[in-house]
Order: sequence, then C-alpha cells, then structure tokens
Amino acid sequence: MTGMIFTPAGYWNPIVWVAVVIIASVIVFMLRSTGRKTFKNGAQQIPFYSGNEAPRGHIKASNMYWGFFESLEKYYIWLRKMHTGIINDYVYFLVIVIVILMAALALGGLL
Amino acid sequence: MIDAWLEFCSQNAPALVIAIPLIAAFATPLFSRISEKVRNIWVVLSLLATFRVTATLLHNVLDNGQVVYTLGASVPSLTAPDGFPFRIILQADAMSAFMAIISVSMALIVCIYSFRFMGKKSGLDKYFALLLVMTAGMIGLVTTGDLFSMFVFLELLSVASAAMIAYYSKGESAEAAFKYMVVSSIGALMILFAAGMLYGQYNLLNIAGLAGVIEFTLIDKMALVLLFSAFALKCGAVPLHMWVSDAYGEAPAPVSAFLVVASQAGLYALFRISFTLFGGLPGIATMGWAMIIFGLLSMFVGVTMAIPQKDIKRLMAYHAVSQTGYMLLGVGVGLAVINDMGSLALFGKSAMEGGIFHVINHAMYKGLLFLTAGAIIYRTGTKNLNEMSGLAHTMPLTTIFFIVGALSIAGLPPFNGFASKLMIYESVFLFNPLFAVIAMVVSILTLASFVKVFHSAFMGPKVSKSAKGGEVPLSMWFVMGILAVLIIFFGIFPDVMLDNLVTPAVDALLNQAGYIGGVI
Repeated sequence: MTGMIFTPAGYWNPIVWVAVVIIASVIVFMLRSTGRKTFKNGAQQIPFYSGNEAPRGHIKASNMYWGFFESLEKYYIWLRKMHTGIINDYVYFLVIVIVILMAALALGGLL
Repeated sequence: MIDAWLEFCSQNAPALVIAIPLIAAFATPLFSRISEKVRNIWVVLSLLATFRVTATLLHNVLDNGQVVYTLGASVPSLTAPDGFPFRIILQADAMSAFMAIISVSMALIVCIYSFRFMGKKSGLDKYFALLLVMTAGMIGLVTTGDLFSMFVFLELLSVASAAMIAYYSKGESAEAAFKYMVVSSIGALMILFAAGMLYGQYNLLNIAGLAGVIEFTLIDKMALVLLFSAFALKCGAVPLHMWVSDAYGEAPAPVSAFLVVASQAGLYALFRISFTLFGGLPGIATMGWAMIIFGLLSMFVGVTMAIPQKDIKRLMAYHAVSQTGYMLLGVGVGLAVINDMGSLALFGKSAMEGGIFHVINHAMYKGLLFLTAGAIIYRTGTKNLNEMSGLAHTMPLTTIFFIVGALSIAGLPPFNGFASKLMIYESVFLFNPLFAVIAMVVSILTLASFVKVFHSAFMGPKVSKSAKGGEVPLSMWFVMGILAVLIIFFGIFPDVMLDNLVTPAVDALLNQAGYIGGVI
C-alpha cells in the first residue's frame, strides 16, 4: 500500500502530492499571517468591478458559459438536431452503426 | 455447522450469487405484508448475504483462478462430459468477479439510500423486489459463460430497469421507460439473432466452447457486428446513447445511480465478446478501432451535451455517457494492439488497466453524484438548476460530497478519477497523441460543467425552495459519505485497487486460452 502506480511514461505518487499540498498550504498560511491587521469592514469588502457597481444576485445555470455556446452555435444546432427524442431515430442510429461496422470489416478485408 | 455452511456457500458461490437476490426478490412482497421495517431488514440482509458470497467468489477466483460451475451436473466442475459443453455453465474469472462485486456493493448502497429517499411512497415492495431482480440480472450477466443465458440475464436486467425507470408513473418517466424498453428489446433481439447464427453453425452456445471452435466465417463476423452494436447500445456509447439521458434523467435518483452499474454490465459483455469470443479473429484490431471511435465520440458528444443542460440529472446522465467513453478508449486501445505483443506490453495493457480501473471509479463517483442530485431533489423538490441557489448554507455535507464527486469525475488529483485517467492519458498518448489530447480536453470541459452545477446549486443566496429543511437524513448522507471516503482512499492508494482487482481482471480478459481451457 504505497500509493504508487506506474504508467508507460513514469509513475504517480498521490502521497507525495498530498504532502506537497499540505506544505504549500502551511507556507500560504504563514505568509497570510504576516499581512496587515488594519483591514476595515465595509468599503474594502466591495469587489472592484471595472469602476462599476458589482452586479448583485445569483447567476442562473442557463446564463452561464454564454460565450462558449455562442462560439459553438453551429455545433450545438447540429447536436440538438441529432437528439430528437424520437424513438425511431434511436433505432435508425443502431441500424446505421451496424451498416458502418459491416463496411469497416469489409474495407479491412475481413468480410 | 457454520464451517459446513460456509464450505457449502464457497463451493456453490457462482450459483448462489444469482439465486440469493432472485429468491429474495420474490419473497420481498411477502415480508412487506408484515411491516415496512421487516421488509427493509429482509432486503438489506439479502444483499449482505449476496455481498458475502460474492466476496467469497472473488477471493476464490483471485486465489485459485477462474471458477466454473455447471448447473444441473452431478459435480459442478463437470463442464463437458463428452467434450461438449451442453449445460448452462457459470464461469467467473477475475473480470467477472470484479464486475460482480461492483454490482452488489452499489446495490447495497442504493438500497440503504432508498429507505429514506423513497420515504412513504406507495409500491415500495415492488421497488425493492425490482432492485433485487436488477442485482440478480447484473450478476448473472457478468458470471454466465453462455450466450443464451447472457441474453436471458440481459432481458431480466432490462425489464426490471424499465419498471424502475417508470416508478414515478408520470408522463416523462413512463415515456423514458417505454423508450428504454424498446431500445433494450431491439438490442436483445440482435443478441438473440447473433446467438442463433453461431448456434446454427457450431451447435454451441457456450462462449468458451464457441471460442475454441469458431472459424470466423462470414456469418460469424456478422454475428460479431450484431453483438458489438447491441452491447454498445446497452452501455450507452455515442451515437447509441440517446436513451441514457431519458432513462437516467427520469428514474428516481438512487435508480439512476444503479443504472450506471447496469450500463457497465453491458460494457462488460462488449469486452467479453470482443476479447474472449472473437479475440482470435485475425482482424479484431478493426473492432478495437471501432471501440476507440465509440469512445472518442462518447467522451466529446457526452460532455458537450452535458454543459447546456439545466436539469441536474440529465446533465449527470450525459456525463455518464462521456465517462463511458474513457473506458471504451482505454480498452479499445488494448484491443487495437492485441496482436502486436510489443505495443500490448508497452502501452496496450496499461491502457486497458486504466479503462477497467475507470469502471469501478466511475461506479463510485457517478453513483455519489447521482445520490447528491437525489439529496438536492429530496430537499428542494426540483431538478431544475435555475431554481436552485445557496444550498451550501443548508446542506453542508451534501456540498462536500458533491465537491468530492465533481473533482473526481473531472480527474483532479488526489481523487480516484485522476488515477485511472492518468493511466489512460499516458498509455493512449503512445498509441495516438491526439486521442490523449481529446481525453484531456474532455476532462477540462467536465470540470467546467460541474463548476456550473456547483455555482448554480450550492453558491449564492438562499432561495425559498432551498431555505426550508436542512441536511438530508442520516441514512442518506451516511452512504454518500462511504462513497466519498472510498473515492479519496482509492485516489490516495490506487495501487490497492490496481494490484488486487484491476490487473487480475485485465489479465483474465487477455487470457483467452485460459477461459477456453476452463470449460473444454
């Protein structure tokens, strides 16, 4: 029970990783404890947001990663078209896969 | 007396691991008539007994090699009296025992979680009976050495799963169950048809027997394609994954967690057919490439479909598809280089170990994530992420368990998902660097998707729906805690799992001659 696993490129030792994280955390805590103790509640707690008032409220799941979906719009249109939810389409895909696998075996000279 | 009983259990373990949950399932409605408490105790005791016998079977397999059990024979080891295996033979090697122990462990966890999650809903006698039937179906599927029995156990599993998906009897759940039933039936028919094609030529249904005599005729190869496609459908590989989001999304949360393991039983069958029955086919590497392509498509399409979802369970269902891709990629690389001993030793076996290790890791972290989703639904009554906020205020333990599951599925150290993914990345890189890059990008997208869930459900101010109540009941968070601890433990000590279960399972899968020799 050493924790080590070997891969074709080397090895991975999680215990060393955990030890490094603990040491790094201790160093961070020590650095933090050397900071100024003159912090004041109030104005200093308001996040700086490009000079504007930071938006309040909670960003809902549907509004997240807007840019990601905009840039991949065409891909997502294609993907949604594929996921029709119609049972006939599920079976069509099975038939298509069977045909493709048969063709792959034929092209590989196996049929 | 106890020693004699334990000896009997050990000798008949392959039959008992199927018989105990099956008999217990039929007895459950009777115990339910006495009282709920008696029924719950009965179900837990049955699953504990199944777990105990499965552990004995696993122990026997790891100590003495594969265990063969002939049903109806005067001596269970009498597999082929006249050199011809005509009876139903249960054949458990390290791969089968590995899958069986995953199935029964998750059954136990799901069962304990369900007691409070399902609460006072009606029809729970049938719910727990079907849970036991699913367990019997899964264990039967992974321990049978017979193609026809494989079809029977798959049908047993599918019918029980469909009934569980339809448990809520609402429009969506009934529709999801109907789709699952249609897809499963068509897949099962393909398997039956393929079994018939092989039986027509060789008068055999036994996998080891068939593997020993198969001549790779045109009909055999057509049977291979039918079996391969049907099991790819059952494990939810893209583009045959459409049923997964419907079924996992609409089933009760603990059932979704158990369906993950049911899909993995389909994955086992895919591996068994490819390596054991058709492992000697000269061009089997072509099917290895097919497995890799299924894996890459599943990884990428699964995760990109998950990100825009706002239904927490559908999101997790698509991630299940994506994670299945990793297993297919890892094991597919092994199959693609199976005839090249140098590449198999250099990276093929390691890729397979990564893929098989990911099977058990996925059962743990995806099981945990579905259970945390269930905890959220239990408290808020909604699956819609847009209606959730600030759950970390009221459900601190569920939040911690969700973080553990999310970091594990995203492949962050030191969780168990990282260990198996690292093995897949580094092995696949030597096969094709582009595939490894795709696998890593998918992990980043997985993390992004779970950051979205974490932010929208757990962060932010409390909303009225999440403000009421607090943490889920003890029995629910206790089993989530067990899974979280296992995830961390096997993340820090992956060698325990790898050396004791995964490597023997991969060796068994690669040892086609050994599997055949067990029967003939």
